This record gives sequence, structure tokens and C-alpha cells, in this order.
Amino acid sequence: MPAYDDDLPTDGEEVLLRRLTDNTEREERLRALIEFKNLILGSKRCKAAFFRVGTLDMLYNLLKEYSLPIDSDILIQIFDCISSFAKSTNKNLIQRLVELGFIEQILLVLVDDQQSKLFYKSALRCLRSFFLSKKFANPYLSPIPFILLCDQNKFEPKSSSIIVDKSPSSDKLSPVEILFSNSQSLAILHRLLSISKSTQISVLEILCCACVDNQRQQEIMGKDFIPMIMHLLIENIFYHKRIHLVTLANEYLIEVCLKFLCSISYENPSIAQQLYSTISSETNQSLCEIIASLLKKINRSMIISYYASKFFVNLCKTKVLSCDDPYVSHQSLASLIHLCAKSNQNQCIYLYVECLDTLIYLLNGNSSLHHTAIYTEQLLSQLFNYLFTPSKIFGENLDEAAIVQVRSSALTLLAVLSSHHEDIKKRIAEQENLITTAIECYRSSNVSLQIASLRLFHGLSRSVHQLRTTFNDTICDILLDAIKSSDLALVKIVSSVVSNSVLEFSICRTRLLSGGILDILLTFLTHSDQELSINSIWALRNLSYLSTLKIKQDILNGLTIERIYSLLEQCTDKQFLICLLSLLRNLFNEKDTEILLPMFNSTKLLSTLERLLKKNYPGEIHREVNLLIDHLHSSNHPTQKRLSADSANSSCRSSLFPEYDCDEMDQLDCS
Amino acid sequence: MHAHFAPPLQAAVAAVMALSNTSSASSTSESHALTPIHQTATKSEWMEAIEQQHLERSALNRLIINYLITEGFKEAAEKFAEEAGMPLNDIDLTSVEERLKIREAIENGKIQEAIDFINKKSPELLDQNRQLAFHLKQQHLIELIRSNLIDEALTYAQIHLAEFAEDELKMRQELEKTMALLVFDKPLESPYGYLMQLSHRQQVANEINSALLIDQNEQSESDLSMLVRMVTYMQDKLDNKSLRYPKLIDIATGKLDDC
Repeated sequence: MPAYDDDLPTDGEEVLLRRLTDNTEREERLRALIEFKNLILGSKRCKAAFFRVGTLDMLYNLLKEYSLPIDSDILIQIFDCISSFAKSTNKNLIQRLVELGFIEQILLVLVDDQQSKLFYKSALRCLRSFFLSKKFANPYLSPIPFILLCDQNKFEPKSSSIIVDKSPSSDKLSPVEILFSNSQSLAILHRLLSISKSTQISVLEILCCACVDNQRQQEIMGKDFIPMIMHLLIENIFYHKRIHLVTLANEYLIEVCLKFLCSISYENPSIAQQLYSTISSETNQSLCEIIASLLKKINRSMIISYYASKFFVNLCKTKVLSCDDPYVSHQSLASLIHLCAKSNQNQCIYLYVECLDTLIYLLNGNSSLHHTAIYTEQLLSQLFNYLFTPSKIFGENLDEAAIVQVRSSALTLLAVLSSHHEDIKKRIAEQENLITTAIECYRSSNVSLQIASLRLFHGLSRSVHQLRTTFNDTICDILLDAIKSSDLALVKIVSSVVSNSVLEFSICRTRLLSGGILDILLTFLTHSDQELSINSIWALRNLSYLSTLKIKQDILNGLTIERIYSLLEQCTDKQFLICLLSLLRNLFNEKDTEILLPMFNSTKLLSTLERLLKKNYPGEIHREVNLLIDHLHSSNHPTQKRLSADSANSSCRSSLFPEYDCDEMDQLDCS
Repeated sequence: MHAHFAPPLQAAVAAVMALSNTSSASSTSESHALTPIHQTATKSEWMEAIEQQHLERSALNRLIINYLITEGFKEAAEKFAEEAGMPLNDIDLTSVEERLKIREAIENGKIQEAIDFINKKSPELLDQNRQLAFHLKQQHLIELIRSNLIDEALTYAQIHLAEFAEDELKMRQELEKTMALLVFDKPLESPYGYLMQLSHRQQVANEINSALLIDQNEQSESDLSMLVRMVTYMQDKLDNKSLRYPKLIDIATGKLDDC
């Protein structure tokens, strides 16, 4: 905490405060406000000191006093002061600003439509400061923690995501909640869009911050902002083209228009579809065509390129556009890669992080784009540079936090790229120093780097070849260390890696077992976190596949027969149940059934399974139950040819991931 | 609104073309790289090539107007526009005037006045740009030292500058140098005397001017400055390839080297 946080106003500053409170003469108050403003603007100490003596309350009283009737000169000074306070990083200060009701009061004065442009500009600037405050960061605008997806592998357990509470309902005093609690707010903002470029920028940025969930997006959409924003977009693009040159004011407006369109379409299929279908009445072009035209320009600004690309990414992720739509695969993807690969030390590093995160978002679960993404090696080589030597790209004076962010985003993107195709996995894993660097990242003290490195291991663990080669003792020890972490997010990711690493052909398996992984997985079965419990049953299932009798007995001893019966009868989690049934099927393979089945009482087991069939479960569960029943019947009647899994589904026996398409898997000898 | 006229960069292109108009026999950089020193053209050939480049007077006028507007020379811009017969309809002259007032206040050492003007014009600037806020306050401290108001200077540094020193190492180092001026009888002659030079005021004024232009979403550098830098860049490129050409050795006078 900085030393000045404890400061109080100086004697001179106290005198100034008294002039503000004691002297009611308007001109004197105006002068005092201007002096006050000049003190606090650019000074963290002044803001902290004045906050400590309750100056915010005084300012609020002044705001109310001069709102009826509106004294615009005084209010402009108050707005500028409050705007400055709202930029503070002091959470208590921000909280106090919100509690006092500044936002509500500003919205109230904005109802008046007879004021000057400067008045509205100042008021909106003040309002915007609240919304842009880090205390109320919109998760939809922040880097997105995610689940590593594999669109062809529906049966893999979920890895962890750091769950962000995207609902603002937990914080009733958030600026967004206050904005929407006033039924006139959106109408006021809509009206103010036509005042000036400055008010347009402020309004759009506020609306971006207000898109915190689907409900709020829909409310904004319902107020007919889109036609106005399309008009702004076209007007500024057209102006830009007509004079052949960059005018930064127009460029900035284009940027915020695009940012708004990204915010409002994010994770909202209905709005994304509406935007896709929107046609401009001015140019008769679709919104997609207008935005795509921005990507074609050679000397485009990076921010415009970024948000234009992100718009198509959002349309793709909401399934409005398919992956192979040219807007996505040719334009958006290419632009994002180009932006990542652009070396420009003058650009804000956080733009690079945004590009990487957006690529992660796009490519995660869209494996058909992976080969396109790495087609020219441009992306991969840049990712390795970001990871190994970020200071060579961004300069030596970069702060530590920025370096960590860019490295963890680069590593996570590598994790996504390595999560599906075997050839890409191999290319990435075989990059000199990559695994060593990933290990170093895990061993760093930074949680995001640790998580990113585990994600990479997770992506690579989806390969038989990698499990046989890359996952050495060092990585095993990392897994054993991470699984004991007190950080749930870390544990969840590593449990996904472990669930693959315990497979029979993995070189990690023995070390994990001797490191006590079985006991740890058993304790996770009853964890309150559902994902973790599913990951653990999944891991046990994989562990049991082609396993020795000893390991199977250890699993059964740890699980206990009573618990298995209890789970079969009472478990309502379908994915957990599927894994449990598969686990049982793995346990009762040919040679071990005679030893293990008596532990269960086969009659009781069969009747339990038959009861499961009568329940209204999905087809997958019934299929598993039937397979198990057939299996058990065959073991009771040895002469009867067992209805093997092969005949039910030829891939089941040889493949652990029924729909996973992997060359290595096909070569497995599972006899 | 800043005036941008299409296309000012054509002039730059013309200069660059003249500059890089090497011998027709060697048109690729690869072949140039292979020859140790290559005479591209004599000075007279060079000048002839330059003469062939078409340059509109209106383009040059626009460059000049752009420079005057960007640097805040409102009256000069108005006068020039009048004489050149060019409209200034798209330009917000009020904004230019405001920037000029700020520049003049800084160059006259009236920093508090400058802060007042800046906060009136761009109230978010000093909050968003900590370095700018620091440099302004540092300059005010320098003015106090210049006026030999030692007690005031010490109090001012303690109250208004200490927070910057706490936040960032570079600022602390700058502050230490400024405070060191107090130790010397003749601070102007001290190792940190450059801080007391009037050129330091201009440096701060330029920094503020650029920041104000960016804050107002205007171009922070005049096209002319950019062109001059482009010429320097192109000449460096040619030098790196060991090419001999009539180098522009004095930008201000347009003097070319004999080659």
C-alpha cells in the first residue's frame, strides 16, 4: 500500500475544502471547485487524502444542490472531479461513490435535453469512468478462462475452468445494475448518441460494459441501438474512404462501434443471428459485408482489425457462422494470426494478449481450423517467441504482469492447438525447449503460468504417442504435486491430465500409481465440485482398462462394493454413471471376472443393473448397462459366446474414446 | 477537427522516389547488396530525377498548414491559409488556440496556469497519463527553484511529487536529479543544469501538445515531421546497402551531398 494512502489533506487543502462547504456564493464555489479539480486530477495522493475526510459526501451534496435547477458550469466541474475519483484503484473509494448515488444522480440530470454539448460530454465521461473501473470489470470483456474442448471427443472429462460469476446479481450496487434499474437509462443514452462524437464514444463504451449477460444484451438490443450504430459505422468508414486518409476520431469511433457489436453478440446466438441478418438501408450491404470490408484494407488500425475479427469469431462460436465460412477461416482467423505475428513495440502489449485469447476462444473446440491456423508456421513460431523470449519482441521495460499474461496466453493457445490433431501435437511437443519451458512455467510462482502449463500437458495427453514419449518422470512429479494443490482450479485441470496419464500404455502410469494417485482419485469421488468428481471416476475408469488384477482389486477395495451399489442406485449424474458402468465393464474383463464377480454377488448386481434399465436414462446409459449385463451373462454361462463390445460397437474395445479419431489408437493391440 | 488533406504523403513518396531512384540496371535490393559500393547517380542526374517528380503546390501548402495546425500556430495557419487561398473550414481553430495557450504558458514557466488550461480542455489527460502529470509538476518545481523559492520548492516536492517517486523508479530518479539542483549555488551550471534550460520547457510543451492531440483523437505529429523522419529512414537504408547517392545532409536548407 502506498504511503500516501494514509495522508490527510494539507492545511492549504483544508482551507480549500472549507471554501467549498462554507461559502455558498456561486462564483466563489466555482473557483474553489476548479482549484479542487486541479489538485485531484493527476494526483493519487490528493484523492486518497480528500476521500479520508469525507469529501465525496460533500461533492454529492453539491451535485444535488446544483441539479435543481441545473447549473451546468458547476456541474461540469463536479462531473470532472467525480470522474477523476472514479478512476482511482481504491476499492473503498469506488464503493463509496456508488453507495452515495452519483450514478443515479447523473442519470437524473441527463434527462434534461436542453443543456450544452460540453455538459453532456462531461456527464457521460464521468459515467463512463464508473463503468470502466476495474472494480466492476465486465467478465464478457475480460480475458476468458475456458474449458479445453475437443469437439470430436465428447467423452472426455471436462477440464477446469475458473468459473467467473458472470451474473452481476451478486453485486446489486454495480453500475450496470444501477443503470438498468432506471427504466429511462437506455433511452437517455440513445438520445445522447446524436449529440457529438465524444458522447457517441462514451455511450458506446458504457453499453459495452453493460453487456454483462444475455439478459442485459437483450435489453440493450430491444432499445434499437443497432440502426444508429450501423449508421455511425458506415458514416465513419465512408468518411475515412472519401478523404483517403486516417482521421483518428473516425477511426476511434469505428473501433468502439465494433467493440460494441462484439460485446452484444458475445455468447448470444439470438443476437448474433440478428446481427448476421442485418442489412444497412444506406448501402444495402449486410453488417458482415461492412465489417469484412474493414479487414481488407491494407493500412487498417490494429484495433479495428482485432474487433472486426472478433465479431466473426463471436458469430462462429454462437454457430451462426460455420468454421469454414470464409469470414471465419479466411478473414478473421488470418487477421488474428497476422496481428499476433506483427512486431510493433509501440502497440499496447495487452492488444496482443487479446488477440491470443480470441484465437484461443475461436480454436478451442473448432479443430477443423487448427491446420489452417498453423499452415505457414507464422503463428507457431511467434507463439514460441512469446513464450521463450517475450522481451525480445516487446522490449526490456515490460512489466512483469504483462510478460506473465502474454506467456500464459501463448502457452494456452499452444495447448489448444495440441489438443486434437496428432501431427500438430507432435510438431509442438518436439519444439526445442518447449517441454522444459512448460515445466519451468509450472514451477514459477504464478498461477496463470502454472495453469497454462497444465493445459498444455492436458492437450498433449490426448495422444497415445505423447503419453508414451513426452510424459516423463518430471512431468509425472508435476502432476503428483499439482493434484495435491489447494487451488481447486489447478487440481481440476491436472485431474484431466491424470485421467489420460493413467492409461495402460502411458509411461507415467507406474510412477503415478506409486505416488499414491489411486487414493487421491478415490477421495475426489465425493468432492463437492462436480467436475472434479467426474474427472476422478473417469480416471479410475481409464486406470482399470487393461489393468492388472492387483490394480483392479485396489480400485475395488478403495471404492468398496457397498459404495458402488449405492452409486448405481442413487447417482443422478449421468456422466458419472456412464463412467462407473464403463469402469465395471473394464473390471470384469475375461480373466478377472471369475475372481472379482463373486465380490459383488452377481445376482444382486444383475438385478441392480436391470433396475437401471427401467429408469428413464439416456440411451448411452442403457447401452452401457446392456453391455455390462451381456458381459455378466456370458461370464455366468462360459459356454455362451460372450457378446463382446466389438459386436455392439467395433471401436469400443480398441478405443478408449469411442469417437476419437486417432491413428495411434487404431494400431493398439487390445487383445 | 484536424485537417488532413489527401494525399500529403505523395510528397514524401516523391522525395523518397527521388532518393531511392537508383540506377536502372540495379533495381533489386539483392543485387545492390552484392556490390560493395555502388554509385547510383551523379548529383546532376539526381537533381534531374527530382525535377521530374511531379509535386503539386497545393500538396506543399497542405503540409505547411498541417504543420502549423499541429504545432498550434493558429495565427500563422490562418495567415498562410488566407495567402494560399485555402479554406480552414474543417479545422477546429478553438482547439488550436487552446493548445497554443497551453504551450505558451509552459514556455513562459507558468505551469499552474498550463495545468488549469489542460484540465479545462482534457480533464482526463493527467489521470490517464501519469508521466505527463509528473513532468508538469516537475517543471513547476524547476520554476520554483529557478525563482529561488527554496522552502516552497521543498514543500511542493513533498506534497505533490513524492507520490510519483513512490510509484515508479524512473520518476524517482528524475525527481532526485531535480532536487539535486537545490544543492548547487548555480544550478544552471550543475550536471543537471539541462533541467533549468528553457529548452526543457519546450520539451515539456511538446510532450503536452502531442498528448493533447492524441487525447482529442487527432494526429500527434505533423505530416511534415513524419516525412522528414521517413527521409532519414530511407537514407539510412541506402547507407546500409553501401550506396552512394546525393545524400540530404541538411534538412533545414535542403543541401545535398556531392557524390
